[in-house]
Amino acid sequence: MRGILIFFLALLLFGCDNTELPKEVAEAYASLPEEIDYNIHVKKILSDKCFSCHGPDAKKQKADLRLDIASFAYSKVTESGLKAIAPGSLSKSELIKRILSDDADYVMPLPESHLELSVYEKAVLVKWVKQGAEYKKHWAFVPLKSVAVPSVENSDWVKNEIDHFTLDAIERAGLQPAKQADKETLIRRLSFDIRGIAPDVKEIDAFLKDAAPKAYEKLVDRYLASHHYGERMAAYWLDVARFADSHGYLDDKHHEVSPWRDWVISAYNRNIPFNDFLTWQMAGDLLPNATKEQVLATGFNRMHKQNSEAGIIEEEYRVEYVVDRTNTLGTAMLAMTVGCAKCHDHKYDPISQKDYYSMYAFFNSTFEKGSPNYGGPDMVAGPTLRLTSDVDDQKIGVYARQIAALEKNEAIKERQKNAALDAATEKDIAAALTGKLVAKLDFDKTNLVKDKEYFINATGSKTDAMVRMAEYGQGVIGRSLKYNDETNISFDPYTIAYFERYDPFAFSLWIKVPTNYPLATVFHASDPHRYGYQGYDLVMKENKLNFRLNHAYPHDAISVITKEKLIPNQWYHVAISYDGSSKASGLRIHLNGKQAPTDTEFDHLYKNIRSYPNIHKTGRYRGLVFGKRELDRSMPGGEIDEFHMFTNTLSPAEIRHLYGKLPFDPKGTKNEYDSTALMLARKSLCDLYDSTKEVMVMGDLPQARPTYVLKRGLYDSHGDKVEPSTPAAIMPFPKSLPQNRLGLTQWMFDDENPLTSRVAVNRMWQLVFGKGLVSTSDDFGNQGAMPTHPELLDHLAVYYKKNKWDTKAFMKYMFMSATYQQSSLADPAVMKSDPNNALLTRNPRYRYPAEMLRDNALAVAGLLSNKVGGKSVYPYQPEGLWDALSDKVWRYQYILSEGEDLYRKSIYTVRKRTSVVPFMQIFDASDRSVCMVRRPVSSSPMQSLAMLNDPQIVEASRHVGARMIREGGASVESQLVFGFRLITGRKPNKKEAQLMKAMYLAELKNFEAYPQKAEALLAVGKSKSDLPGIQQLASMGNTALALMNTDEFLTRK
Amino acid sequence: MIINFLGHLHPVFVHLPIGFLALAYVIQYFFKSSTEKSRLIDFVLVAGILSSLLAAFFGWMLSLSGGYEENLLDWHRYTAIAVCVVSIALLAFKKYKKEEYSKPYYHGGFHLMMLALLLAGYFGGEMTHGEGYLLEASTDLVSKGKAVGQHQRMPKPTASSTTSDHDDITEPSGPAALDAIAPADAASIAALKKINVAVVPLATGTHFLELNMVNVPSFGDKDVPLLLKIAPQVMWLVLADTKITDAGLATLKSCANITRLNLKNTAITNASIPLIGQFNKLEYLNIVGTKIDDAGLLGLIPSTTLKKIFCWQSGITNNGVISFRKKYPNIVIDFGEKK
Amino acid sequence: MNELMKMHYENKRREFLRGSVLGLGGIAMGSLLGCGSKNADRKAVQQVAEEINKPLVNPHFLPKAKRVIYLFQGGGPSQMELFDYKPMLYSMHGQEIPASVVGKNRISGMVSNQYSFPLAMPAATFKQHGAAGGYFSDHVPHIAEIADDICVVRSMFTEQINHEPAVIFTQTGNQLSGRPCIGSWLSYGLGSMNDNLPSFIVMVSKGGGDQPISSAAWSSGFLPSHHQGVQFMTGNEPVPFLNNPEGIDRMDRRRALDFIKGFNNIQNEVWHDPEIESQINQSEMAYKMQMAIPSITDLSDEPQHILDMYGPDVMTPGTFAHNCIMARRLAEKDVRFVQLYHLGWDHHGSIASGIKRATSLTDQPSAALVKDLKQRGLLDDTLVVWGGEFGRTSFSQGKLTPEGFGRDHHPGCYSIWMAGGGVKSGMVYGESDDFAHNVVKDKVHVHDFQATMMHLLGIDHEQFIYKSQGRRYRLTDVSGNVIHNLIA
Repeated sequence: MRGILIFFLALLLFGCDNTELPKEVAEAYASLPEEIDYNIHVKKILSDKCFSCHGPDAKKQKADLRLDIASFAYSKVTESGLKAIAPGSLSKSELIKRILSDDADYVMPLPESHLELSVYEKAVLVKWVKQGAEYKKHWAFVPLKSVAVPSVENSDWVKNEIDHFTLDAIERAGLQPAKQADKETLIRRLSFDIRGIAPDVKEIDAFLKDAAPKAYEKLVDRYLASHHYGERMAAYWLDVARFADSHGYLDDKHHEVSPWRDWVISAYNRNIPFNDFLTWQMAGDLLPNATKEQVLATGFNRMHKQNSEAGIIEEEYRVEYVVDRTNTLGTAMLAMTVGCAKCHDHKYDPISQKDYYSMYAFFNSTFEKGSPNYGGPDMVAGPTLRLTSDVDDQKIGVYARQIAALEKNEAIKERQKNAALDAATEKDIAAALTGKLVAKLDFDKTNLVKDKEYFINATGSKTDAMVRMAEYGQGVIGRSLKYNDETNISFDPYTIAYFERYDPFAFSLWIKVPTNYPLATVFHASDPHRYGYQGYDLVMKENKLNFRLNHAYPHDAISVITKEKLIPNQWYHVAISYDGSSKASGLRIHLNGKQAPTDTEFDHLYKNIRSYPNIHKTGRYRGLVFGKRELDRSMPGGEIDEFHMFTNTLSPAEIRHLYGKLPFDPKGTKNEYDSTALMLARKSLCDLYDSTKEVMVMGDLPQARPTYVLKRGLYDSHGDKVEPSTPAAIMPFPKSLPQNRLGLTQWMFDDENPLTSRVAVNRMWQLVFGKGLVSTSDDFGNQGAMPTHPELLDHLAVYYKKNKWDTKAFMKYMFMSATYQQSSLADPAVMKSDPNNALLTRNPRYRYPAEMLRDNALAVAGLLSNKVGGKSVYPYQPEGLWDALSDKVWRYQYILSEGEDLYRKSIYTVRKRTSVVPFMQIFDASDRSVCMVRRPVSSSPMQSLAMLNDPQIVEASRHVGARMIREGGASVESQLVFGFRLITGRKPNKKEAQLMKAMYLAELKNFEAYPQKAEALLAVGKSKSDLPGIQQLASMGNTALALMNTDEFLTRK
Repeated sequence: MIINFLGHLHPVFVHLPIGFLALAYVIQYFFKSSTEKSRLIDFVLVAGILSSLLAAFFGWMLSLSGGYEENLLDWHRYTAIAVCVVSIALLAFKKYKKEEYSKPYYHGGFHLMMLALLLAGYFGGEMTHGEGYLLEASTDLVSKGKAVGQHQRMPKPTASSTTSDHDDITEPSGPAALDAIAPADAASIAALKKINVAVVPLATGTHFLELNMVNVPSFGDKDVPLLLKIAPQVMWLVLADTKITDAGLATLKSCANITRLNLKNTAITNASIPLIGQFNKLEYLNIVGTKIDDAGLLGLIPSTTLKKIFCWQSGITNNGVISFRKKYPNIVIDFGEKK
Repeated sequence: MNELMKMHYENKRREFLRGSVLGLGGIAMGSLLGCGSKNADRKAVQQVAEEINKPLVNPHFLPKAKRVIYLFQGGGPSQMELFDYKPMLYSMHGQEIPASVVGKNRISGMVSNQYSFPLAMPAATFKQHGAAGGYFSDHVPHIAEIADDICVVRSMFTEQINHEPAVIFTQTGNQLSGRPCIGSWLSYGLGSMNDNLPSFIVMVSKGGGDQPISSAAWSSGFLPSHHQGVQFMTGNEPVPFLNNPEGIDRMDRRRALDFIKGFNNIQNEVWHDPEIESQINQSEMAYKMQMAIPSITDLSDEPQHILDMYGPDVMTPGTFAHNCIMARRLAEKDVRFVQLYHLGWDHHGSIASGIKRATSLTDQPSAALVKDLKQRGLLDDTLVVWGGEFGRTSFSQGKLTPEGFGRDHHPGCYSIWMAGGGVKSGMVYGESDDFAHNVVKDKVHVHDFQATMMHLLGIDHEQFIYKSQGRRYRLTDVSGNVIHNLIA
């Protein structure tokens, strides 16, 4: 009996799992790696198939269960009484029961979610729970620490530490790396990866002959030092910055931003350290005494799309621009898809909606409008930077000093004049007023000229004001002008009241308002709202009088507002006097004879306020107008009377005279302006400013704009208030840092920040190896891919940081590695076991990006211009593409560039967001509407058509033919070989040589039979060729064109 | 957790009492009586009792983990308890009343025990192996089960109503159910694709095909044999603008499942009308631009499924159409007449 | 014993056997499995199958339509002047629109400076046409004629009030560009039925003084970029670089392609790269396309009486009529998705003359296209859609002056019509209130319209998913119901 008892006891103690796995899961289970790692195997499955209902998104959590945090998953008791996950035990984990069940209303994930766990995924989860369900911190959020370099067997293959990591992975998989590529391949690969174009035949020969051990390194250094390097890196960075020559959206207005592109190219060529490169672009304007270059760099955050469609709600699109900057910070700097958290908590990554709007807050105080100003080349969407040259700066200094001196004694003269007038008799004051009066309207009577009504200008200067839809009321003297919705009284434009900002002028009028106007226009001599209110105007905000002089409201304007509100149904005398100083201090507003206390809304006016006609201004400048302005509210029900306009400032005495309704003769003699020297000095300063170019940069409001969580992402539904901060899961925002964009960059480059360096090095790896160590270089989150070589990624990130972010050194580090110098041909066995080259068992092959294809075609043809920087150019493009977009009168014409500009590098070709140049678009170039860090690669028949029929390729092939004849030696065979080397970078084998000869002869036979075909073909493109034998040239050209359509011209190897 | 585990031991121990008690019964009635026999019966009975108690205990555990059909479980429980009680009583009776062997009680007890045992076994089997398992000769259970799994993947009925204030929610006119058909012969498909014929499966999960000669204007009678092997799979056949003639079409009578036939601008004549009548699943017939005339049209005996005929620019005239409409009012026939 | 019960017991038996038979065995097994040893020999890098997006290739279920012709009327055609007859607007002309009618409807910035919103009577007279008795305005006589072949939907609504976001929303299901449009989804999902032609073709015609249209409306978004709509341009080169350069004829091109194939094959002996094969196929398709496209654009084989159906400017390239007959020719060649844009409906001012001008260019060709498809037996499986991105306001924009007024954008209610491809014909669906300002019966949201279109093409819009940057995207985003009452 005792035996049986012991037997039973053992039985009880031994209780072990007997949850039996379905057959197919058991099989998959057996093939799993020994040890299941949360980050490598499990996270991706949980994230993709479970987190949408059981993840970080608090609002969407079902059965309030979350599986992304260990403590929660272990402790949560589910309705069946079992723990969600009981580490180590399958039968006690509800999760295991749910995923293995085949009962439709019990299985997880729910069938109606259309998500399904594959057999492999079930096996991984089972084994993971069995092995203790150990959670680990997300690999990308683990702070960087230096990594031990693994030892390898085949150590003589290794050239630097990079190779240790790659070889270790290869040896673990029981494979071996490919042999080193031959020198012809190496120089071609280096030339494309660093310069974006192929090496010339002479360069190849020189390199082949250079047997020095450091020949390769010398080549790397020489290429890194050439200006092509800057252009190649900048071409990629323009995708990240979503750089384009037009605003996008409906009207797609063009803007001039080439200075920013020039800066990026020169920054790379001067090898500016990467931390400065990013810090200047994110917060250059906030740096202590920032240089012009540092402020220019902040253009990065102004490259987003801007909507100038009439009738949009500005705040909605201002919010859109801030959202774009936040998403770009996420994709470009942190490789996190933060944009998902705009409307709700991120479903997969630990980024709450509150986190999102905390990052949003860094960019929410930009001093910009939702609908950018436009209306001519001098109209740039603010905030802007004036690109004054050093010479200009000196001149500005000189003028400023001159004006200061003149202003000092002008002030003295002014004081004496005022004192004199204070003591003067009424008659003298009247005479003074008469001397500067230029217009007086008392609205009492009108006269009819050719059935149009006019108010007579009492000065008798035959500049009367046309009357439309006027109403009248009981005025201060006689009738008053009463506004209704349609009232429109205007002097002819450009005749009178066409003041510039250095002209002194003044106004006097009586005004009575019936109610409290949130916003109303009393009179204006300006463009409509969309063109920045260019000119000046008197408006009312909450019944406070606001006088403004605008070049481009609000970033280039003066705006002064009275503190006092006009009380409805009372006549007020208003006098406005401006001294032409372009400063708010020069502007006085007097109410009922006394100077009114005012607030200065804006005080930075630099450019002209006179409005000039422009094709983009569909709403015309109509001169000084009382009443209606396009898309703005006039002053319905309001009344004005006794309007006076003067061409000089008004002294307090004169204003009291006017307030007292004392008479003065409107028709008397006009006296000359008595401070011409000051005005001329001011004018020359203004003219200088008017001639300088402006470019969009960042600039914040004096006080930060409050930021709120936007419920469901809607621009106007504010949730709770948030402060600028960053997601704690990545790295909490240190209290010591300033809560602005500068603080943000310091957070990014803080030693503890796990992402910035990893993301940057991964992208540079992608530039050189076609795919990042993390293939999803825009998403390091839970849904992104795992790094194929985690330790190598960390090693590179530490290396880059330790080398003080030296980009050229880092690029060279990659080029010098044996991994990079492998041939892209591996033996079939290796190819079979590592199909998508995850282990880097050979150098990757992929098609060149669109820019390199075109640049290289021009380079081999000898057409490529080496000019660096400058405005965008207009290469060949099929006719009528831009006309097809719209037939608005202001639409943009596509004017083909001339001469050298036709053959500039593709980085300089125009990128219009609503119509990308077809050749670029067909080869997957982006329309740059949003930040993009990796381009798709597609293949379509349109690409063959482009490479065969695009005039720029056909013309290039003709020039290659010409080079073959001129430089290829005497015989046709040697010329063909020269052509082959020019196009593919290597010598042809026998079969290829024979095929070329056969083609050449076939083409020659064709052109000899039809010479007119040769002539027609040689006429393609703007450049001419001067070689005599047109049949030979055409045949050689066609052979070259055929070679340019083969894989070795299109594909990097 | 322990309950669950112990429950699982019930099936292991339940067979022991059956074995022992049955043995006891056999010994009792089939062996010559002898002293060893009765000691043997005692021992076997004790073992039977012990194991039946254990089995009962584990059975109780198993029932706790739930999932068994109620009344069958009760029957099984009571008959099992009966087995224990009777066997204990039997042993006690045999031990303490040893000599009198009062036959009726003793043998009655034995038979009663065996009956209880059989009943307990029966209900146990019913509960676990499915009702009628023991009785019904369900040999083909396995094969039919397989068929059930392979049924046509019916689409998930999408939510039909749009908004709450929608009154007459009609049954969603889901697509026609496609009965299963074997996959088409791969070689024929490859051959057809080689001459640029578009071979397109009509929907996921079905092998019915559409053959479209849009890129093969030269397709003629000589190419028809390529189709024959996959004729049953052809449901939509577009021969518009090809060189097909009556002769070629005639060899296609094996396309039994055709529902849409497009013969626009081909040389088809009235001769093909009888064949067209034989397609008993045809719904859409396009004879635009053919030479078929009124006689041909009226000679057509359309299948009940035919819904639409298009015969613009063919030989058919207005009165041909009018008389056809009289004969078949519910077939829409359109010969492009002006409204 | 019915099937289900048998199935149930089948499970029970397996469960029971598994539990018991292995009970004893289970003990023995348990100790062997134990907790696996922690030797950390890392196997080759994990090959978790990256869930790559696989195109549908076939529809989910039997489709009713094989191809779509979308006649998109850009600018927002006014429903009050076309298909939604509202007698109340005549009687209340000039009166303020009741606040109850306006409700929470969003008004555009164009009228934010207006103080009064007077109702404006339609600049049209209406008559009933067709069996269903639908009302059609005198501006669309030809469409009225085919009332029995089309289904007018008067209860469409959207949330977008500005052109560009509204067009992008109707095309891609989201108002911010960056997602694929309907044509790209279908080209990706179902591929092309005719390899000699692009599967998704776009043609734009302009009615004068209208809002521009950008290529974002036919972009392939995150789908592979060869699913982008191919825009047919006017002039002799409908597709960029279609024609060979001067001096190279079709024979020369054939010769060159054969040599290029020769060079590629030699290179492929070294690389064995499937990419090279695909390049060779692409060039062959390009060569065929150079033949196929001109055969579409050359209308010389069309009989005169057919050309006359489409109206006077059928032969002038770039007009709506010309694009309509081209659309029919493309449908005959089984192009999957033909997208026409006619711009010119944005009548902010003088709507009377604007409507006249727009309908004079579009009414006859639209009706002709439907008639032409029908008589060829093509309408049966070709879905034709006619409509814009939103409607217009019942109140006037700007002063209600005698010589005419305009109407502003209005997302809350507008009308479209559909024909063929499995849609019920001769029907009027849905109703708006007396002012054509709000939808009151059978609301159809843009996502519902997209879901229904997908259903007609045999696609379940909830299961047609593409995963990009970790998120599963659908054309109908997260909503949209199929409107079964529209389906025959």
